[in-house]
Amino acid sequence: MNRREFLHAFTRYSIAAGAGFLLRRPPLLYAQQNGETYDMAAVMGGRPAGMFDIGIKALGGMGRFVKKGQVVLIKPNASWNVEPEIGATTTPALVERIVEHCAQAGASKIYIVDHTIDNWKLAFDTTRIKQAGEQGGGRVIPGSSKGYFHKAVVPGAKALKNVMVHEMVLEADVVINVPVLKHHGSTTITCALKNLMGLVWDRWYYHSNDLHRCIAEFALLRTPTLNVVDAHTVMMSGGPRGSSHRSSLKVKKMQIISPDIVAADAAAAATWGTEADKIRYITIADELGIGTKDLDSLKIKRIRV
Amino acid sequence: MNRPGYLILKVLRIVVAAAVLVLFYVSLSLTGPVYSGILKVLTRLQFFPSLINVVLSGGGWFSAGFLPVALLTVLFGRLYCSVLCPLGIIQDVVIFISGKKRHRKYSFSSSGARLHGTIAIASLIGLLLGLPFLFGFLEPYAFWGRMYRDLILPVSAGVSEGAVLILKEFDLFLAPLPFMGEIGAVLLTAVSALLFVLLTYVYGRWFCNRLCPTGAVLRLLSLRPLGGIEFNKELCTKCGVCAHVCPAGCIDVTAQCIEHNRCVLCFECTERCPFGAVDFTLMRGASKRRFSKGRGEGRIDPDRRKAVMVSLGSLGAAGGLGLTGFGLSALTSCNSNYKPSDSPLPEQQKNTSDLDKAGRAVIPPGSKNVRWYTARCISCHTCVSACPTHVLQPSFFALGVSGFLQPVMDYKRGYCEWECNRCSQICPTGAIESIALEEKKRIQMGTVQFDKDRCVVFTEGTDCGACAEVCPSQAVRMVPYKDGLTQPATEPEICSGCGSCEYACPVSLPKAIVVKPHSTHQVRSERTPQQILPEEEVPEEFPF
Repeated sequence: MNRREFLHAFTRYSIAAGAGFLLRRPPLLYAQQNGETYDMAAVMGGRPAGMFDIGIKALGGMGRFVKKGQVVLIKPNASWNVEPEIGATTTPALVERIVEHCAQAGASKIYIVDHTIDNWKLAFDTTRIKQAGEQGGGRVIPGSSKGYFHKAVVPGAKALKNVMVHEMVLEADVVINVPVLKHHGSTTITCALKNLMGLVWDRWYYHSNDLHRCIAEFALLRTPTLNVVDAHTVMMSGGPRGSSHRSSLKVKKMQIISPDIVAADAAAAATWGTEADKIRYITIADELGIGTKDLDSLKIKRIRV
Repeated sequence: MNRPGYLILKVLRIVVAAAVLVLFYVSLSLTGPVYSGILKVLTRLQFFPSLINVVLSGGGWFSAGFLPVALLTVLFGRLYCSVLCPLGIIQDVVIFISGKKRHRKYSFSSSGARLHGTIAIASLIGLLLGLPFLFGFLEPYAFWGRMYRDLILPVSAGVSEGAVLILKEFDLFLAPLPFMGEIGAVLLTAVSALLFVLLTYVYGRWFCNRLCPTGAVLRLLSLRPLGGIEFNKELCTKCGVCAHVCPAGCIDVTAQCIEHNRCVLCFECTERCPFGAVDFTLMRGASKRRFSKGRGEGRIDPDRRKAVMVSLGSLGAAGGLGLTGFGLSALTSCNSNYKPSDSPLPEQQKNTSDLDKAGRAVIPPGSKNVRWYTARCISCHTCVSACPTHVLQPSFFALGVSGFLQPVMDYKRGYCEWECNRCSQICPTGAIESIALEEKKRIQMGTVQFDKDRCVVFTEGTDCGACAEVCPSQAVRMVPYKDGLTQPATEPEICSGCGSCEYACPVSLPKAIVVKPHSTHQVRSERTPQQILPEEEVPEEFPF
């Protein structure tokens, strides 16, 4: 490692560490319009972009999570080379709206990253997330080129001790996780915690080293600042890719927004029709203290549109 | 320098050649419909790839770029070799460098017809017998294609990796050109390319007139071109400048004669002749008499005769190519129960066990069966360069000796993208037949085979599901096992053999789930696709 590399790495990790410290728990001092701070907003009955407008307002606006001049990383689910209507990927309009909110809050740069399973270029085009994200003012940056991934140590991990992670995870001030809720053949559902698998280089390592534990432990490296669960059109079977003869979709018109990733997943599990306790990665994440699966302990704003 | 008119012709040649080379480079490196289109046009103009495509693969007249090339050659000689053939253009680059460095003078050389003829006939007979190894090794487009994929692409990839790292500092995020692959093929190409460059550096266009099968056929077509370069004996002082600058060694100053079957119209001699004694003539009628006088001196007669024999031999072989081709295609289409033009009849075309002989390696979608494929693929590796997932990799003996260097699906390195048929669209010889995307999705290249004893779910007792997650046809799906775990269940009839599961399977080799290759591609059964109608089910109450 030469001097330049050292300085680079040093800056990178200091920023990440600093950001992590500052943003892990959003400061509760932040005053809300109505004087109350919610841990979660759940919206029902609208379209994804519109529900986000309402939900984020209830949480105190994007300004609570994104400060002026900050670099934002948005992690949608763009993993498959399929049309957004299949329900396998995040609704493009939602990504666009989140980018717009970040820009309004004064974010200096908004990057959209996913290490897709299908070909990166094809997947971002077909899911229309590239187009939508760029319309909002964000930038889609390569998520499938090894040069952008760096090794990081996951503190306190047992299965995922270190991981090759996209450099934006270490560099960005704010991470916004935008999963789509859907069925998954082996983990029953995939949502917020599992969506972060798209930020690592070697996802197959997870599969051979206790998938559930790896999924949970990644959040020890970097917990997203905010999670926006797209549960408008929910895949109930045939997931995660979706298929023409085995998928069924239910339009639930829901959205869950929370800075607590475990709570977001717990609410998502209930929305899908199962329980958080039945999804092993949610219980592990809860035990690790990444967040709480106990929704009763949280202040939730439930809004019907 | 002495003759501005010819300088213009020479510069024109260089400009066209450079444009062709640059377009080849760009269209092979970048993806998108425009680049695919350019690549398609360029490869359709390559003599043998196009000939094989039309004659052996039944590629239709759109692919018949060899016809205008042949016509051009009959009219004006081997212009093809200096402006359309990428390997010829590379030779000119090497010759240019060699001229700058060595100030070497070329001289008239013997026609080399015996060696050239033997090699050309041997390689063409191999092609006719369905063993295109020697042919593919020497065919200039294939040679260039391998040079691009094995030598140029890794360099571009390395440079772009570096450029990406620098551009990142300026807030520009680009994806570098990817290169992934079989290092053995890289070594082999490196050795053969080094030999080729050395030969060219020292002897000029030696390859074209000793080893190149295309060169051999074009030599016959250009024995008496209508237009060509001629001596003006009144002006010639036999100073020898023309012969010294001729990289093809085809100018005999003593006899004041040019062997047109080796001349590639590079216009070096015409431009350099201090007396204006070599001229390009569009209608060589007038000079013909002078030419026959030259023959009278008895200097080139034996060489010419040899050249005629050789070329006739090659052309005969090329003709045989046609006949065998039709025979072969009739034969193979009898054996192939996959007919792309047919409408899907899954019930009738179901895998029949006697035809479903296991292949040795999975061959790309559109290549029908191993026999069809190995007989037509000249190992140009265009598909290997173009494959977005790098699943197509050069093989050595995976398809047997006759399949040496031909690309196969390597599921350790990639998987066949469901929404992609690029290899079939760009294959220059039609070894991978051009098929529409919907047809491609119906092909079964092999079938899934699951080995419980290697699977993570059974060996580790943890959830995995990587194979089912990626399966585009749902031939692999997860079903309940025990303790809340799920296990893979396979349905080989609907499997396309795309290898997504094999690629994704996280266990070390051998993988727990693999594709068993078909030697003859089948039509996979398809579950009737249901229209996925999203049911509206907005909950009454918040479920949490």
